[in-house]
Amino acid sequence: MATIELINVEKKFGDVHAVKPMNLTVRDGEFVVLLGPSGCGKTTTLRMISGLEAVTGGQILLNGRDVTWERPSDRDIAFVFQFFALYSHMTARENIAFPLQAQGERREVVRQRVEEVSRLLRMEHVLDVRPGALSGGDQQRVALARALVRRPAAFLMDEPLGALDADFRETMRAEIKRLHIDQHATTVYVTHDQIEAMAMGDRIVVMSDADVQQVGTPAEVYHDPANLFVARFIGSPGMNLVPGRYVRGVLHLAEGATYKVPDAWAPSLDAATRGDGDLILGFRPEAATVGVDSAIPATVYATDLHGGYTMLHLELGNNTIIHARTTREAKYAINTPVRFDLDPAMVRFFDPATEAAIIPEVRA
Amino acid sequence: MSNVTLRHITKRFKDVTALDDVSFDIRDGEFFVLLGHTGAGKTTTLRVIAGLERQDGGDVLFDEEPVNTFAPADRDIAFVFQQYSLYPNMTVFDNLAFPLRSPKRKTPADEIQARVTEVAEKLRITHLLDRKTARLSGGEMQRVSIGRAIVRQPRIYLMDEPLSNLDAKLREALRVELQHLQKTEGSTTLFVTHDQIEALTMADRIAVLNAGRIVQIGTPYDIYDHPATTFVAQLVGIPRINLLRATRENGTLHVPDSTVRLDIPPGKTLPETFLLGIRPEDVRPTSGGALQGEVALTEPLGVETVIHIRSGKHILLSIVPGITDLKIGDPVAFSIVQERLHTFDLNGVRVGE
Repeated sequence: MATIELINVEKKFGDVHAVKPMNLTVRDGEFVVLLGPSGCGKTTTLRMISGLEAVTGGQILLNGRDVTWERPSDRDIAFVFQFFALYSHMTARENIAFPLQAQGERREVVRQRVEEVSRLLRMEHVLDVRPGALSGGDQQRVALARALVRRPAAFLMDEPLGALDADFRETMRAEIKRLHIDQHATTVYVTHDQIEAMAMGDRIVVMSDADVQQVGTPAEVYHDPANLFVARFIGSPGMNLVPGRYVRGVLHLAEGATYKVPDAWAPSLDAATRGDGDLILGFRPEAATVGVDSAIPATVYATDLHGGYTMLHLELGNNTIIHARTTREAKYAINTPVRFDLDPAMVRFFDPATEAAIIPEVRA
Repeated sequence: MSNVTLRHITKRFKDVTALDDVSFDIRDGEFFVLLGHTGAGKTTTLRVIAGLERQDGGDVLFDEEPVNTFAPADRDIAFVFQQYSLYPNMTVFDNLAFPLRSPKRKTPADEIQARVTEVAEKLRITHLLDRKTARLSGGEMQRVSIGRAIVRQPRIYLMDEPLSNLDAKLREALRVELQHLQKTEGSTTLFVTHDQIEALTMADRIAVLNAGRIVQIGTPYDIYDHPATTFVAQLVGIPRINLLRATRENGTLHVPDSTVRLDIPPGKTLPETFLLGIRPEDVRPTSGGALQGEVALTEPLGVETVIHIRSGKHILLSIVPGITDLKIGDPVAFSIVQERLHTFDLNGVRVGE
C-alpha cells in the first residue's frame, strides 16, 4: 500500500526546534509508533506527514513521490484523532459513510464498504445509533471506521485511545493491532504511553526534546536502550540506574558495595573509562534476584503486590532506590536487610557524561 | 493516630442513594484503600468521615467514640486532594508550616522548623524548601501537598485520588514513597482510588465499593485470589481475568465452543452452568499442555508478553515472562493452573469453595 519516508524533516517555530532534522522510513505495511512525553515533537511530526503542518525543511515521500508541499487531501492518508470528531446529528452509519459520499462514491459501494468495515470492527449493532448515545469505546470505533472506510494508503493516528478509560483502552489496543494485521495498512501511531507503544508497534521511534532518541523494535528499546532517557522511559518502572565508579573490572557503588562486572564487559568498560571512571549500571527489575549469598547489599524500602507478581523496592544507600521483580509469595518487612544478584546477560552500562549506552564489544 | 469505624452509613442525595449501609473498620496504623469506579460513593464516604457531609443514617466513630455531631475542624483529620491546593505565593517551607501555625495550634517556631525539615526529607523535597510553589512541577506540588497533610499528626489522613493527575512514572514513584512513609510513620490512612494497581500495591486492606455498597473487604491477596464476585474479579488484575460461561459434565468442566475442558478440582461443588474465571498468568503456553489453541495476537510489553489464544470461538488472554517466540497463527498447546480457578454462579457470586 504505502511507504513513508522522512528525509531531514524539521520544524521550527521561530528559533525553537519543535522537531530537529529527522530521518525515518516507514515500510509498506509497517506499524510504527512515535513515542515520547508531551512536547517531544511526536504530534508535530505526525502533522507534518499528514500535511496539516508545513515543514521548515526536508522532504516527505509517500511511495517515493515527494508530497512535502501537497495539500492534506491530496496525500491519500487518513487521520484518526484522540477526540473523536463525529457529527452528532448523524447516525454512526451516516458518519462512517460521510467520507465516501463526499468523494461522490456510488450509493451501492458506500453501503457495502460501511457494512464491511463495521463487521471488521464488530459494531454492526450500533450503526443506527447517534454518537451521543454511544459509549466512549463505540464512539472511537465509529471514528476508526470512518477513517478505514476510505481505504487510504496510510493511517496516521494521534493518541486515538487517550480519551478512553483503562479497560477500554486495553480492548481497543488489541483491536487496532488485530485490524492492522488483517489489513496491513501502513500506520504511524502517536502515543505517550510506553505500554501501548510496546504492545502495538513493529518499531518504536522514541522521541524527547524534539529529537529522535532511538528507533527499534520493542525488544530492542527494552533490552538495549540507546541512552538513559530511553532506559528510563521504557518499562514500568523504568530501568534501574545505579551510579558507580569503575576500577578494573569492579564497579564501586555507594557505601562500600561493589559489583564485579561480567567478564565479557570488562574490555569495553576498560576502553570507555580508560580503566578508571564513572559509569552507570543499568538493569531491568526482572534481572535482580534476592538471595542470602548475593553480592549487593540493600534494605527493603517497600513491597508491592501486583497480582501476578510482587515488586520489591530496595534502597542502596545515598538515596538510590532500585526495583526488583519477584514472585507473589515473597514477603519482606520494610527496613529488612537483603542482598541481590544480577543476571549477567541483562546488565547494561551508560556513560554518565554523554548519557549514551556503552556498546559491548562482545555481548555477554 | 486513631482507629475509625463506619457503622451502617446511609447517605441520600434527593432520590439517589449514594451510600447504602456502608460499614467498615480502619485499624490504628492501617493503610486502608477504598476502590471503585467513578460514582461508586468513594468520595462521599470520605466526606462523611471528614464531616463535610452529614450521613442520613449510621454512625462514624473515632476510637469508638461517635463524632457524628463534630464539625470538620473538630475531627482532627488531614486531607490530600487530587488537585493540589497550595498557596502559590508562599515558599514550600511556609506551605508546609501553615497547618502548624494555625491559631488553634500555636506550635513553637523551633518545633515547626524541626517538623518541616523532617517531612521534607522524607518526601525528598528538602532542596525545594525556599522555592515558591507556583514554580514547581506537578509531581513536586503533589509531594508538597502530601507533606502539608502529614506535617501534623492528626487522627487520620484522608487521601482522595492524590496521584490521579500525575503522569505514569511519577505515580509509580510516589506510590512507593507513600507506602514507605505510611509504614514508617504508622499513620492511619484512608486512601480513595479508582486505580486497582494503587489499591493492590499500597493497601493493607481494600474495601471494594460498587454503587454505594461494600462488595468485599480484604487484603490485596484476598481480593486478587478470592474475589467475592465477578465485579471484583474484573476490577483487579491487568490484563483482565478471563471470564467464560462453563458447564459441569460428570467430573469435568467445559467451556462451550472452546477447547477448554478440565477436571473439576476435588472438593469443588459447582452448579450445572457457571462462570469460570482464569487469571491470564494461570493460562500457560507449554509444549506439554493438554489444551490446544492458536495464537491470535501477541503484545510484547518488555518484561512480559500478553498472548491472545484463540480457543474455539473464544479468546483467552495469557501472560508469559519475557518476549515470546510465538507468532500470530501458530498453533499453541497450553495448560491452566487448576488450583487457581475462580468459579461464580450466573449472578456473579463466588461459588465452589
